[in-house]
Amino acid sequence: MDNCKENIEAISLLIDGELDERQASELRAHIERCETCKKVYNAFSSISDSLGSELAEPPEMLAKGVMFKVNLIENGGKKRRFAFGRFTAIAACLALILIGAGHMGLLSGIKSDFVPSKASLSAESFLEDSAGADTEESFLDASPSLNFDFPNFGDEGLFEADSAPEAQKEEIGGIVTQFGHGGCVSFENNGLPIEDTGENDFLRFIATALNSSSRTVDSDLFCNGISVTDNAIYFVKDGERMPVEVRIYEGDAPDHAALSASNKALPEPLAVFTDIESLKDLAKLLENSAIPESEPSGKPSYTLAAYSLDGSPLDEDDLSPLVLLIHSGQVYLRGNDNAGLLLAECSEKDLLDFIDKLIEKASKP
Amino acid sequence: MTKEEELELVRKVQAGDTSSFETLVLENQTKVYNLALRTVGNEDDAFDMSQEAFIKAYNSIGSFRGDSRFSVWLYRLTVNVCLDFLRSEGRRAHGSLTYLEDEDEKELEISDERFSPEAMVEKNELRRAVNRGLLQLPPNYRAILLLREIEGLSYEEIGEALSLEAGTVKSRIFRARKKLCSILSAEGNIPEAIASKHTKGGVKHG
Repeated sequence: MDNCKENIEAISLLIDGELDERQASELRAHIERCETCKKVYNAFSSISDSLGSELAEPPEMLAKGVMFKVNLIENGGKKRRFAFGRFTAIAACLALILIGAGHMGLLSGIKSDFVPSKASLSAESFLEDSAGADTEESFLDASPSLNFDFPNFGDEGLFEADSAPEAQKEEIGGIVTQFGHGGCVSFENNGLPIEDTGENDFLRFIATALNSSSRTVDSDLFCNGISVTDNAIYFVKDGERMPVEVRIYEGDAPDHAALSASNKALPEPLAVFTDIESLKDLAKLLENSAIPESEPSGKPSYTLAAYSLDGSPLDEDDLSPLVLLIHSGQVYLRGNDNAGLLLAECSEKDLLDFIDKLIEKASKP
Repeated sequence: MTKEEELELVRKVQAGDTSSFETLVLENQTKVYNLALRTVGNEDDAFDMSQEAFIKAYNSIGSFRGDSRFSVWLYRLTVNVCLDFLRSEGRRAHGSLTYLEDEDEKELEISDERFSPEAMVEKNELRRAVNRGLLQLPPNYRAILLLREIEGLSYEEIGEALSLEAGTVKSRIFRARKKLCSILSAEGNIPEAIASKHTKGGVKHG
C-alpha cells in the first residue's frame, strides 16, 4: 500500500503523542488492519518502552561534586581581606611537608647526634621499626644508645597512616575541609557538605598554596591539594587522601631526583610539623604580604616543601617549594617562576621565632 | 516542578543563592545523568559529562532568560557537552554497558498477567539490546531519541533544545527509530523490525 509510507512515519508521531485525536484514532484503526504497520508500531513501541524504563540512579557524588565546584567558583570570586588573591599564585607553590609526630620526636631528640646520611628514613625502614621488626636499620646502629621510644610515635600518625592509608580514611572524623583553587568546602563525616562560614579564611591562603595543581578545577572532583580535619593534614591527589608532613629546609629544597639517583640520603630539615595549629600559625605569619618595591635575589634562606609520610616528595608536577628569602631583616616569599615575589609583613624575627617554636615543640615527646 | 517553580529557583540562583542551584541539580540529575549515560555509553564519562553540564549551566545561568524551561535548556547543554565529547578525537561511545548488566536483578513491578517470567526475561534482553543498539546510532540520532524517550520532551521542546525546526524534529526522530530498528534486526534481536526486506514476514506489499 502506497500510503503506508506516510502511515509509518505517522506511527512515530502517534507514539510521541503528536497527533490530534482524530488522526490518532484513524491511524490506530489502520494499524489494526495492516500487518506492516502493526510490525512497525510494535517495533517502535518496544524501543520506546526499552529506552524509557528503568532510569539509572545517578551516583551520590554527582550532586555533591557539582555543588563543591559551585562553591569553589563562588568563593574564588570574593576578595579576601588578606590579599588572598595575590597569594593564590604564590600559594600554588607553597609546599608544606607535614611530618608525623613520630618523625618530629625522632629528629629533635637526636638532632645533634644524628648522622645525616642515616636520617634519610624511607617509609620501609620506619615501618619496619614500628612493627617491631628485628631488622636493624643502619641508622639504628649509628646511635645504639639512643632510646627511640617508639611507643611515642605509635599512637597515631606516621606508621598507621603509612601502612594503611585507606584505614586512615575511615579514622577521619568530624569535619573535613577540602581546599581547592580559590576556596574551600567542608564536609561532615557522612559526606554532606557544610556551607562555608568563612571560619577557615585564614587557612584558605595556605590551602591554595598547597593546592598547586596545574589541572583546572573543572576536571577534578576533589582538587588536588590540602585537606584538613580537626587534627591532621592531608594531601588529596586524584581522590586519594594521604597524610603529609611539612618540612622547612635551610637553603634550597633537596633535589630528590639527584639524591635518589646517586643513592644519597635526604638532608635533615630544620623543622617539621603536621599539626593544624602550626599550619594556622604559618598562615597568619605570611598572610599580610604585599608586592615589594625591589626584589632581592639570591639563594633562598628557607624552603618549605611538602612530603608524604613515607619520605617521598609529592608529585613534582603538583607542588613546588615556597621559598623564603631574608634580606635586610625582611622576609620575602617566592613561589614558582610565574608567581613573583611578595614581601611579608612579618619580620625576620617573627619567622625565626616560628621556626624555633616548631623545633621546640618537636623536642617534646 | 512547574515551570514557575523552576523559574523562581533560577531567579534565586541569579541573585546569588547557590542552595537553590542545588535544588535544581537534585531535581534534574536523574534525567541529565541518564541522557549522558545513554549518549556516551559508560558511567564514568556520563558522570563527568553530567557534572560538566551542570557547571556550564551554573556559569551561564545569568544569561538564562526563561523563554523555555530551565530543564530543556539544561538538556540542551547536556546534549552539547556529550556530542562535543564524542566528537573530540573521533571518539565513539565505548559503552562499558555494565550499567545494563546491573539492571538484570531488578524486578519489574508489573502485575499485568502478560508479563510472565519468560516475558520478563525477554523484556530485559530486549532492553539491553536496544541500549546496545542505541550506542551504534550516530550521535545526533542518539541524542534526539533520548531527549524524546528519556527526558520526555515534546517535539516543540526538542526543537528548542536543539535549535531545530519542527519538521526536522519529526523526521529526525523517525529516521533515528528506523535506523535503530535496522541495527537491531541486523543483530537478530527484533524479528519484526521493518528495516530489512529480508526479515521474516517483513516483505512489504504494494
